[in-house]
Amino acid sequence: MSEPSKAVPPFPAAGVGGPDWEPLYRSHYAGSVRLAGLLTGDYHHGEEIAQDAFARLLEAGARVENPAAYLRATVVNLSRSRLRRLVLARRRPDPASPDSPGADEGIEAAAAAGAIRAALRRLPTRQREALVLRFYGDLSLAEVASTMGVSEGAVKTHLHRGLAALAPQLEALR
Amino acid sequence: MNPEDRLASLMRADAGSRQPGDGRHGITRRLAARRRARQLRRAIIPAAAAVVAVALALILLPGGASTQRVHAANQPGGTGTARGTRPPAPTTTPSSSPSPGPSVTSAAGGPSASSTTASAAATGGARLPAGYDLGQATEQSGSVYATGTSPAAQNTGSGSAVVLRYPVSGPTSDGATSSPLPGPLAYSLGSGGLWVVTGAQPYASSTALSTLVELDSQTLATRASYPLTGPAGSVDAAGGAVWVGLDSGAVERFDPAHPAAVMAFPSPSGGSGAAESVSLSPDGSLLYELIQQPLAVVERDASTGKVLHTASLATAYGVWAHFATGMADTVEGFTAAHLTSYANIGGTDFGESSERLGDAVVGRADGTGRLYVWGYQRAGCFDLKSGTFIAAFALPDTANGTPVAAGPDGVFQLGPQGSQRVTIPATCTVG
Repeated sequence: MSEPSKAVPPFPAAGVGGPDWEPLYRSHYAGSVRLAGLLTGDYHHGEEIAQDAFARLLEAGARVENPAAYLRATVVNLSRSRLRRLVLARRRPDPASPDSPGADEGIEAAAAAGAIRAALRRLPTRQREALVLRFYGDLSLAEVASTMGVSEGAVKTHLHRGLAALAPQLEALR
Repeated sequence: MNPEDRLASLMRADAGSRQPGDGRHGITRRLAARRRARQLRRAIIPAAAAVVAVALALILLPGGASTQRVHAANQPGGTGTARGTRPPAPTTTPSSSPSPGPSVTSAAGGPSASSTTASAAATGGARLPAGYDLGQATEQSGSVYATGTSPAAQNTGSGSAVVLRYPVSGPTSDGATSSPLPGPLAYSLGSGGLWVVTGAQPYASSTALSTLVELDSQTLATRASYPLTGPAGSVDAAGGAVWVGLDSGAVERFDPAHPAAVMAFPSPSGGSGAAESVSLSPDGSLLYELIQQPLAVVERDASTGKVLHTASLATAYGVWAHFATGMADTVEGFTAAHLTSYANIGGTDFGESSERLGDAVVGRADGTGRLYVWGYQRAGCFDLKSGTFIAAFALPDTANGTPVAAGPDGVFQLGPQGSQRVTIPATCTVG
């Protein structure tokens, strides 16, 4: 039985008025992986989620007015779904995810970054989403609210509580 | 550095240390899987209706009591008003007198009666336009029918599509190709013609109105077209009637002999989910709908539109059909009359770890007593009565997504050379 070809296939042609996929991929794929990685605490999940989100965007085609925003919202929703399925695993203490740059690497900054991802994983989903979108994604409050599907007031609450919960870790990582 | 800046710096350092690989292949593979799943879902209910009806005959009510029961209930009782005058269809044989049958529901501002007759001729031979993808194949009356869909129609729902007819045996030049229609398409063969719904994309929240088009089942020439009251995604024709599932979750019933008499029935749930797929039992007495949001299978009396039973799929995941449930797909059988789950063939291994039901689709099993499920390279047959796995066999064309059709004449796969018969184990052929 022959193995299916692993050659990278071209993206499907966009419909009339549809976005140009290749530039979109180049400018947003890595960012989507990283966003999903931060949201789920696992960059392997992040790659799967980003690919799934792009597939949905391709499927939606020209009906999407703002592909970047659509992609971001899809990544957030898929990350949320993924975490829901992994909730039992998430509840276990797992400060060192497989992706975390370990102390063995001897890179203090990387270790600190891995530690903050582990700390993010322990936050409630909404708080984590708000923090990642606001401070990593550098989105405005309105954009965060739109992406999460909540009010700006709720975003402020999530940010405040999330920062308060992370304060000990942030202090320790100084 | 304040906590916000410190957090942003740490997150960027962590994310920046991760360089993702090339995701194009994964994206394309997932996109193809989603398209297959969409096509498969459209095929769910056609398979379900045939199988459930046969299962009913085999299991629950031997001797055809089910038909008697339904016919006994086949009395006028629907509601509605005439919503337009459509010229009668050129031919067809009404199965039973539709008038003074169920009264007819009027859609607000009903369509002004436009039908088009014999407007477009088909081309000779089955010729898939370049770049089009084959999909939704079915075998019936010595031909394998399939849709051919343009990339634009697949990607955006605003392209074109054709219906193709391949002879079961013989050259593709003996087949036919319809004129291009607004795609994607859903179609059904029965009630005197081949009935097509244009712009059939129940997942896309489309707003464009669909059209019901009647084609000649042999030449695929257009006989007539009827405007629908909204976007639609599914159609089935049997027992002298044609049912269309709308994106609103409502269904409409056309009588080919009296196309002006259109009955409309609202979504049973009152929800916003589309009637993703509709299918009639072989005798046309029962209508099955797959409804989204909430996901459910609905059984109706096909004369009155009355909802007889509803089965939620939130936990059941399917009706003798491939049904995507994330990473674990399944195929499940429900009895007719009560829509009670009685068999589940999820997880059946066709002999290769990569050929589980995750890539499968269910074929019609009319008259064979067998249910066929297939993946990319292999397929299997199951006993309709019990869901017991019987045998697996190889598919000749292992190209991804190549449609397979199971019908009264056997199992066929469409390939570059047209329809080719699939050799199936003898144990699969004993009904």
